[in-house]
Amino acid sequence: MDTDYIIRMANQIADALGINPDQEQAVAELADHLTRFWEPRMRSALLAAAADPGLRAQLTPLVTLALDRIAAVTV
Amino acid sequence: MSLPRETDYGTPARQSEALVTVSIDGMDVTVPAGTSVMRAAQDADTAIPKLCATDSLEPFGSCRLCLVEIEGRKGYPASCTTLVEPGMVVHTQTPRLAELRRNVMELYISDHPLDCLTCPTNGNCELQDMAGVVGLREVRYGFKGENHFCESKKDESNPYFSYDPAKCIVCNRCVRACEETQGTFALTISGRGFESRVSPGQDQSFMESECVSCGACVNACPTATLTEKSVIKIGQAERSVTTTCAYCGVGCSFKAEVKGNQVVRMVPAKDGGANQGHACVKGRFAWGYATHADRITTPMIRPSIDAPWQKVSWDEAVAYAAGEFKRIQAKYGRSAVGGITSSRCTNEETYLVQKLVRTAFGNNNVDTCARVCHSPTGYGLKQTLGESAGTQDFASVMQSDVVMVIGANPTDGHPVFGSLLKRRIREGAKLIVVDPRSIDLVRTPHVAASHHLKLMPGTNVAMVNALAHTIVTEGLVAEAYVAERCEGPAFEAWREFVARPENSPEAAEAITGVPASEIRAAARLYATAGNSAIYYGLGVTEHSQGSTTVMGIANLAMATGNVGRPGVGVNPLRGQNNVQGSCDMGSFPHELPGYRHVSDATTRALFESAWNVSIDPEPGLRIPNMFEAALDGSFKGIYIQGEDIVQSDPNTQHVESAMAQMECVVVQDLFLNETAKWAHVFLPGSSFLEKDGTFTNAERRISRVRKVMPPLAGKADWEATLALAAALGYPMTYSHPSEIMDEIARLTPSFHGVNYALLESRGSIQWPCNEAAPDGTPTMHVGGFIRGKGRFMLTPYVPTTEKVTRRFPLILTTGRILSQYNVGAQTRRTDNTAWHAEDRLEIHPVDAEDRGIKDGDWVGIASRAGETVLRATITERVQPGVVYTTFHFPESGANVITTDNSDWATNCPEYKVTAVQVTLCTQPSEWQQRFERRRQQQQGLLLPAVSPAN
Ligand code: SF4
Ligand code: SF4
Ligand code: SF4
Ligand code: FES
Repeated sequence: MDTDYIIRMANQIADALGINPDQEQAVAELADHLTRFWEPRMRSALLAAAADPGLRAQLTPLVTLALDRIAAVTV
Repeated sequence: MSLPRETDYGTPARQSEALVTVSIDGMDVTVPAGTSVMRAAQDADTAIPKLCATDSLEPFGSCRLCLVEIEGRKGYPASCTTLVEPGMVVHTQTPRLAELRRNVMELYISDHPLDCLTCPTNGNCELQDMAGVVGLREVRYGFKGENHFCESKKDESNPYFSYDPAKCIVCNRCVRACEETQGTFALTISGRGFESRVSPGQDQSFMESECVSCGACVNACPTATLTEKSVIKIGQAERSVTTTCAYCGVGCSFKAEVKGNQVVRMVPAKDGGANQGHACVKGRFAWGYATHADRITTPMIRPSIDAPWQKVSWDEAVAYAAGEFKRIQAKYGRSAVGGITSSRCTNEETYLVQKLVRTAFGNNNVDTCARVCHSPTGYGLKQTLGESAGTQDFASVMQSDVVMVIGANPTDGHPVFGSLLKRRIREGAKLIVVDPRSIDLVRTPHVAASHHLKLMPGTNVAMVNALAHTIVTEGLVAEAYVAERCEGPAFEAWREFVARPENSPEAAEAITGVPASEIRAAARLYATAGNSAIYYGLGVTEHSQGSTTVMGIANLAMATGNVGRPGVGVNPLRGQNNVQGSCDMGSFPHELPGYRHVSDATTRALFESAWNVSIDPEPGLRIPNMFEAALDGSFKGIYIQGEDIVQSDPNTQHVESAMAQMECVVVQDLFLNETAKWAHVFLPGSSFLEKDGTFTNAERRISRVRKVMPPLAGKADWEATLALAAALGYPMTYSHPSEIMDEIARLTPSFHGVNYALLESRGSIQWPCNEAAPDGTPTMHVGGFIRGKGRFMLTPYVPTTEKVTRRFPLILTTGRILSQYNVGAQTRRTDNTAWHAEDRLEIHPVDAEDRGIKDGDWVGIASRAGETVLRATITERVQPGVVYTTFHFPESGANVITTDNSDWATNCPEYKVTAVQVTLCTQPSEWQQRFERRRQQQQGLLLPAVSPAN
């Protein structure tokens, strides 16, 4: 999966959900969205990007928090 | 022998609680107050002779054939224009009436050609019938002298119907049909006395006039004056089969009139739930594609996309496809293949394709073209209201006081609904149009929008938030409704959010380009009118924030208490005929039929036990993700039923590169479409005339599609899927689509009550149809929302990244027109090309002048994705800075320019916003030249397949 494409989409979702004043809930909703609507290939590509320090910097904080949450559940 | 005719009650039915009893020829009959004497008589099976009256139109009272005697009244009143009164005693047959009627007929016939035996409507002509009914035996005036039928010339300009003024009896039915039913006002009566004739526009031909070829006048004409050319050519039909239009999401019901296996004409069904006797040029006339010479009727295979096609048997074709899919899965993994269902196919066929993917392929890689149109509707309405569907039936609009149309163009995209809406506006309802273009609705005869919020493309969310801001800050919220029906904390958070200054109309003015005062006025009108309804289309969904706008619209409706009764609601106008149905049937990669998530173990268990497989709990790939996966080498095979993704999906060059990576593309279609040029297996499809099934329209109405002729390729689409499934080792045993519907109903709560016997007796039914709603559900969310409490969602405006720059200073937006349909595969193969033979670029005079462009010039349109060349139309329909085109012709390459930006929640492509530059040019773009070479190459590869020498 094209990493730029994946990163762009993840950040876009975070832009939409990040408005929630309850940031804890926003993170949960983002993690939920990535789990419910993203095929595993896309999610792995995003997790792989988050594991790369250079690419991680391109992710908005909400995305990295959501990914940490997904990783915690998957582990 | 002509077909039996339906009863014509002469004047429209009236609704009234008050009932009136009258005596007609000695028989008592009770009817609602406001009913005409003519209709009351017909209710008692007494047909009063008539010519100018018909029950789809208001009475006119011109022919004087329907005279009756009423005790206590002088003279002979016309029964079509006389209303029943309590105790009225009416006589419809007396010697004096018979004489008067004969005199009237005598005059008509004296000015009418008597070529009945060679007339195309012989036996199906009301004038002929009436001459018989009144017992006309002689014509004292002769057939020479004052008659004028030789002087007028036929108008053959319309490709579908002819106008022979010599046969016109000036009954005005056509004029009234064009006004009342269609709302176009194209016809008038010109001249006087014997000279008077029907005339389109200012003595123009039909094609030169405003006529949109809906056929309402042809339907209404009691004589052969306006007649379908197909009837003139083929003769009258022998039988009639009720079926459903396969074009747009209105889902009009038609009687297909057939001679042998040949369709003679399609007549809109008077009792059609969605259309009540009306139609548009597509469904009414553009069905000739079904037997077009381009149809491919033999399965074909080839080892690579550059190899010649080889004609094979069905068995060979499906065995080859199945072998390839299995090879791919063995080599690249279970998830390396998938399927695409079609919104042009039936519910049953769509259901089978997703079932094949989930069982025989063993994954959830199934998606549908709704991905690229209404997937944000599915997401947005589910989040807010709890069900991924529109809330009303079409008839609901007749009870609306205000209608807000956002990003939709009903008179072109959903014409029959457009006509209904115009009728309601003529009756006095107010109209708000939110659209970057001046669509026809903004100003059309006897209809004018109270507000046209002509916003910049891509700013819908800012607009919806500004409307909400006005409602919240000016105290227009329906507080009691919200308190009772919606989640309190979510509403409070929303109220605080939209009240922020950044969401005010004044802030939105800078973003949308619409004056704040206009936004405020529109919001006040919407919030305070009584019954306010929103209708929206792809101008809402096909944006990077499509889902956000859908949720914003639902917020507006909830905040003003406009959901849950007739006349209000949130209504997505679906593009293709079965978009609603294909979504209902589990075509999305994350949902099983009935919008239930694949991660839900209970739902999975239900389907697992019915299908005898285990279902993957993870969501599958969506169409754009499939392309990405193809490009990274992890997605290699696809089964595509009835869709042309290469033409319809954005960023064509990107799609083409992805297709080129595939090892097995199976295309099932009527024609060798653009996608088939990248295919390895071609399975011939069947048109809607060749199969049984059901379609579900935009108002959730399930209607029957009935077989009119046998499938040209030997198999209906559902049978082809069964063959493929069996070859893949997952045999499914259905002997008729009704059995597929029975399975759908068993497994889907909102369909529990649906079956073919019910559809047979009811004509159509709107889901949910189950124990709780055995008669179906015209209006949803009555008394409470499907999800329990309505949920307000926060809708921040995030500008699209697709911005104008110095290099790409204009915004391109795309749409459709009345005469063509989607990728045009069907309508391009009909005479509808007489109205639209090419896609053009609309550009504002100011932008054109800046670039030295004149009307009709060839211009290059370049974006960061690609470039194409079209001819320019200079028009003020578009605003400065915005250009517009349609995508009906593949060679136009409209999607070469659109980008891979998409909606955040659903990946629905952002077709409506692309930054472009437009320049004068002299030759086709590089892509277009490549396209032409490829077209020729692929045509060459097809020829050996159809030649017996192969
Ligand atoms: S075809 Fe339709 S639009 Fe044209 S004149 Fe007849 S009623 Fe009017
Ligand atoms: S064209 Fe037909 S419907 Fe129209 S006025 Fe003449 S006879 Fe009547
Ligand atoms: S295209 Fe739509 S409006 Fe036209 S006849 Fe078909 S269903 Fe009706
Ligand atoms: S039918 Fe009543 S006046 Fe013509």
